[in-house]
Amino acid sequence: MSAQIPVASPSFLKCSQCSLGKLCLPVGLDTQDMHRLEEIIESAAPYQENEAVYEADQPFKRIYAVKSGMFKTQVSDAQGNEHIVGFHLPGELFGLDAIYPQKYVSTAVALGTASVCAINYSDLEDLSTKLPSLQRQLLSLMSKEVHTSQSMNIDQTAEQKLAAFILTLSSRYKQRGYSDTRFNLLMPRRDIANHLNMAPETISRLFKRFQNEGLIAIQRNDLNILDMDRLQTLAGCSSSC
Amino acid sequence: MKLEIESDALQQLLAKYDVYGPRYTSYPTALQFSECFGEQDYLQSLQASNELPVPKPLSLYLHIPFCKQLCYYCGCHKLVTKKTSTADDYLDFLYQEIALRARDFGGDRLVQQIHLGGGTPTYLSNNQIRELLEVIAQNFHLGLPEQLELAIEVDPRTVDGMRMRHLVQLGFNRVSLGVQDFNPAVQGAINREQSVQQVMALTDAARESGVDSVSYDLIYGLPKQTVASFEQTLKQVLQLRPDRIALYNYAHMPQRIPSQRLILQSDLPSAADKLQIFTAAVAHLCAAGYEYIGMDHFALPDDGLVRAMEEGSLQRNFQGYSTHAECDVLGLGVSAISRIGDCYAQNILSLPVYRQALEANRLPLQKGVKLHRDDVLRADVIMTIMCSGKVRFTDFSQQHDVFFQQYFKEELVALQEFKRDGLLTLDDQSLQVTTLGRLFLRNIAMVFDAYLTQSLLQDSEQPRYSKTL
Repeated sequence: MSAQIPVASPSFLKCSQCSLGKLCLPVGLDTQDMHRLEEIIESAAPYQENEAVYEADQPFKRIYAVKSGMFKTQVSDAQGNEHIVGFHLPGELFGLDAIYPQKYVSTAVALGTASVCAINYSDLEDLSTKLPSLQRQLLSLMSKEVHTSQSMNIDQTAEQKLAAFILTLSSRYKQRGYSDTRFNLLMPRRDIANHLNMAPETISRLFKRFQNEGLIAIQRNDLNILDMDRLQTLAGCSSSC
Repeated sequence: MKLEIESDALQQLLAKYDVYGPRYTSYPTALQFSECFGEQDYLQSLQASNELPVPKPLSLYLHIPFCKQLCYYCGCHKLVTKKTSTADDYLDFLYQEIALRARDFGGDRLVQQIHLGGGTPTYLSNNQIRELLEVIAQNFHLGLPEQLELAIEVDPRTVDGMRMRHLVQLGFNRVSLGVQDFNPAVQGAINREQSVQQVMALTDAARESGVDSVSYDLIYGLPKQTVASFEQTLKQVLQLRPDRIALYNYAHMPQRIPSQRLILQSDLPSAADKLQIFTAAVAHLCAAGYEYIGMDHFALPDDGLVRAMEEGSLQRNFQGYSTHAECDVLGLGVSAISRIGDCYAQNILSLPVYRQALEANRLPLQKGVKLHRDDVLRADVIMTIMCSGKVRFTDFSQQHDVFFQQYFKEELVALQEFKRDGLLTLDDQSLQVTTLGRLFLRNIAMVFDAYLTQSLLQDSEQPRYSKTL
């Protein structure tokens, strides 16, 4: 089966029952501490396609954990050109880059129907001073963000960039317990192109080339990685990328 | 294909499965098209199809709605006129539509197939056809010559050998000739008179100038047709040996198609004769080396249609069976139907209204349907049955993220009867239509059609669909 985006447990707001607990904030918390975390999580109605969670320059108040679906975060340059800085899968946090400037630096938008857990940051700050495990996980998630954004900046060819992009998604799906060789590309092609700073036509050409070379098979949005080793060699990275 | 079954048993099966049903040139069928479907819905589906990681190439269908003379049997959208200036006027609007609609497709959507249909595309002059191709080339990105199929429907009465050579020079590599029947009495009864010599001259000219594939359209069930007369037509056809043969069923629905009122009910072959004409034709064609593609299509083993069937790139669309299943279809011109992404959209049927829309710079859409998830699943099963005849359950389940045997539990039960009749094989892995079952593709596909209701099928006073056989 191709990977569907995992959906958090229906008894939402209960980290203890959420299938994403092992990836998200509550890593390392015992049941009692987890309940304290649950108390500061706010509910939010699901977002519809293209609906914004927050917009750039709005004052910072909350960070968000993806519960289901996918979100993208984008920034505008001085000329008003938008650039997609990241795609966020279930169990991943976004809004962390607002902590330092105390305002959101990006706009977060739902790709299709998607939902979040909203966490008031000052409450989280308070709680994390009392719960060392929570503090450790928060720092670890932030460090991961920094790592991801740095690995994006390395000078790569278009082929390498797209191969690395596919592999990153693959490993993130794997962490979530889903197939790392077959999953749906939920973002439109122009968003992938924008994120990787390439023309949309280049993306379709490269996907076709990868397909002709037997690296992947792609039908509609359904991506099937046929030769993981060669894809990794192409991306110029070890299996950890 | 050999039909190794006694003709009595075959006749019994044919009688048993002789019901009204869709021809599945689309699913959902045109009856589900709604005027609620508008420009925004179309553009949304189009946008989503553009945004796929690898967007599909395009197949263009261009509808030329004019005929010089009325063929009584024909149910196509057409206008009978002898004024050729009407075509000039129409082409101006068609060019406008081409420019308007081409804009929405990116440079990475190459055109791989262009099909001129009608009406009568050869109603247009050579210069008009050349100009039309130029306008297409100016507005779309054409695939490489080796990948580009250029097809035209030819009315033998409007084209001679010289003109045929000219068409091939223009780039057409596939021609289909509207033969219908060679018998003079039948031709008289349908108001379409053309000689074997005319068709032979065109076939020779097309071949000599290097066309890839010559196809004949034939029709069974026409007035004055008999088992013997059609046998004779087939003999003449087989001497010319076209690469493809489409053997269409004449559906007599005078309530819906006014020109068919000019056909006398008493001239029509009886239901039993009609069945015999068809089964004899299938046997005859198969014995002559043609492969049975399905429903009404036959092709020689080295024709692209047979290769497409083997490779799984066969598709069924509004022109019948065709290659290039990987394409989205853009229908241009009055009444033309598009299949883009997850929608079907049909253009305006009335010529004056079509012109008004383009004068206002609006897309000339009349109706359509957006496929929901259930439609997508069923469309895939139905088209697979109609084309390759084999559905592999695990493949299907993986591709659509459902459990086939669970989702289609009731349908699989209903298929047991077809299995007992030897029309398909069915196990845990797959369902496969047998050679015999290829005669009953529509009946098998109907099991998966969620829109069929008993009332629709039984309403024989005013049938909405033709008979399946």
